[in-house]
Amino acid sequence: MVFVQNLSVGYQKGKEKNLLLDHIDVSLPSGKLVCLLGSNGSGKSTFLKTLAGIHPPLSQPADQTLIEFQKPGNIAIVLTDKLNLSNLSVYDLVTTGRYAYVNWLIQLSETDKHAINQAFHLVGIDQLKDKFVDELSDGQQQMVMIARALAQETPYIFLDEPTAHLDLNNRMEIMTLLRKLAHQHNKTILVSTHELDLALQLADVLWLVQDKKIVSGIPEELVLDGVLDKAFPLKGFNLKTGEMNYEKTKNKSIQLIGEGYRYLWTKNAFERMGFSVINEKAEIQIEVEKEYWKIDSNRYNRLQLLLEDLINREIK
Amino acid sequence: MELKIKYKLAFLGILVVFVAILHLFFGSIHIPFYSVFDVLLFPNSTSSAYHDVIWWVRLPRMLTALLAGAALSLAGLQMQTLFRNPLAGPDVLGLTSGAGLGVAISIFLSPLLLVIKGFNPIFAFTGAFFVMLIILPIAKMIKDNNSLLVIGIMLSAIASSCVGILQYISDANDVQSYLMWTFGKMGGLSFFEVFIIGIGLLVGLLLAFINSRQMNVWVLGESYLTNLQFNIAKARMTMILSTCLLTGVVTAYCGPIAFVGLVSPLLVRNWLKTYNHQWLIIGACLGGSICLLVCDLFINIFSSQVSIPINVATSLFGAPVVIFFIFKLKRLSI
Repeated sequence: MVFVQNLSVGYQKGKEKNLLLDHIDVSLPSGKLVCLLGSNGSGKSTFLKTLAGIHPPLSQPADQTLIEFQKPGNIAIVLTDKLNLSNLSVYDLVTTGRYAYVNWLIQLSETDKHAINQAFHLVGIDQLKDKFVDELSDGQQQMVMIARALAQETPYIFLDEPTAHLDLNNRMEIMTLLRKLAHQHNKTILVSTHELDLALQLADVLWLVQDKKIVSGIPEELVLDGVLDKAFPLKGFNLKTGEMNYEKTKNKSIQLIGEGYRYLWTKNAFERMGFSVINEKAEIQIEVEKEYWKIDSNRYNRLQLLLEDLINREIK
Repeated sequence: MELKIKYKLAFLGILVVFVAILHLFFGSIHIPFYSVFDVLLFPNSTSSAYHDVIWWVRLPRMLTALLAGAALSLAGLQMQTLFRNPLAGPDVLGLTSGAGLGVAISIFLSPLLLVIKGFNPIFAFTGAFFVMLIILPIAKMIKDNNSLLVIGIMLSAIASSCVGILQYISDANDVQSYLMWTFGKMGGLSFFEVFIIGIGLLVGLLLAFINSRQMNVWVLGESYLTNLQFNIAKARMTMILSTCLLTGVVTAYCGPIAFVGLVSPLLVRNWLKTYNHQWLIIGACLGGSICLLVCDLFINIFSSQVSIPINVATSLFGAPVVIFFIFKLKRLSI
């Protein structure tokens, strides 16, 4: 566990100060996956870089904890920039993670080689060793950069938006990998992201950037406290219930009878179209059965046809 | 993969030796091949005129091409890495133009300066050194590499305009001799001068080698350098200083040799297919040597019919090779 107190983050250009985060106190728990959440421009990347020691803080904490924390070999970083080099091999890229340990002749010792191979193995990308960086997909490239950070053998790994530009599968893969590294290999992992859903599902601790301060806590607690609602004023989505709120554009109610997933998704479809779905008697009654939908003794095999018919009837 | 790179480097090494020896067999004076063998194998036994030509004319010229090629290519390699730009060469910092201005002053203003014409190397080096004195503090102040690149090009432009003014007010003979300098030359250097180029290459090489870890990480961005506890400013200055030394010393003695410093590191990068500067430094030196030796070899072979300046030859023979490689590799990358 590391405590950092009184850290101010931002940019200074001449005498002009752009304060992003004001006198922050945070504690980083060991062996956990911590997600740093915030909207774009809230300063989460800058905070991450400041904490990692690659961006100067606006005001140094009075004590030595931050300097002690940023000592060589303590933190490894993974940033978002995409590499577009056809001559850089994946192995050489991961090897650069060992450069803090090798002399200027870059002679890799057995320990170095072991650390590199271990990093490939942990991330599960042994098959990429002989590839070149420009042959990789965005997701693979992110995996390689994580392997590179692992090769540094630091107790802390900081990642800035590692899931940006990735599709849902890759995002899940990266985040579960990070979670595994934290829980099974005792790494402390700090990830900045603006993807609320993934952070809610996988993070052990959330750090939420809000009004130039950071609120921290376990995800569930932050949801229940309503802190997340304040930080992410999502229009039409209720974070506590996980439901979308649709505007009731049509002045009609539907009584929906049924259960399970089919019921839920059917309800969603009607609500999306602007109907209000209720549980009591209404002028339109729809039964959700296992194989079909039934309305006034008409059967539909596909939900789309039912919807279209209903809307046509509406127009008439 | 590493083994493959080592084989390729060994091949380049053998090629350098082969081209270097072949280079001694050709020159403006025709010497029968068996006489060249004779002189090379038994240097002490003969004291013919051939002996003197080979030892005092051809050997220094061969060494000049060998060392200058290596130096320029190494300078270009570091500039491409520094600016992350395949179009960067040894001349992007404005050193070559600075040297040109120095030479122009020595030629056009020699009556005023009371110096003997043709004492160019010192003026060329002073010009290059002067630009270096300007570019180093600028590099220290301006952290952005693209801005530095533009400033280098601007310095070049200023120096070239000054040369233009001097040319405009001077007589035709002086303009002619300045033009001759811009064509570049390989021959006519003494062993001492070759030795000085060698020293420049050695120091530049050493600086580059010490900096090779930093150059490998350079492409990832400055944050990663800081994270690995490397000093960015120091790494950057080392690249610039090494380039200044290499380019300055070669331009002083051989004139502004274009092309080699841009093309050979680029070809070596894409042929070795590595971004590890330990190999790239060696490869660029060998490749640059081969490039300049072969160009000078062509000049020597055709010298009995027509005299081609080295700067024309490098582009004339070099450009088709580059085009060929681009077609073969589809894409050139740093």
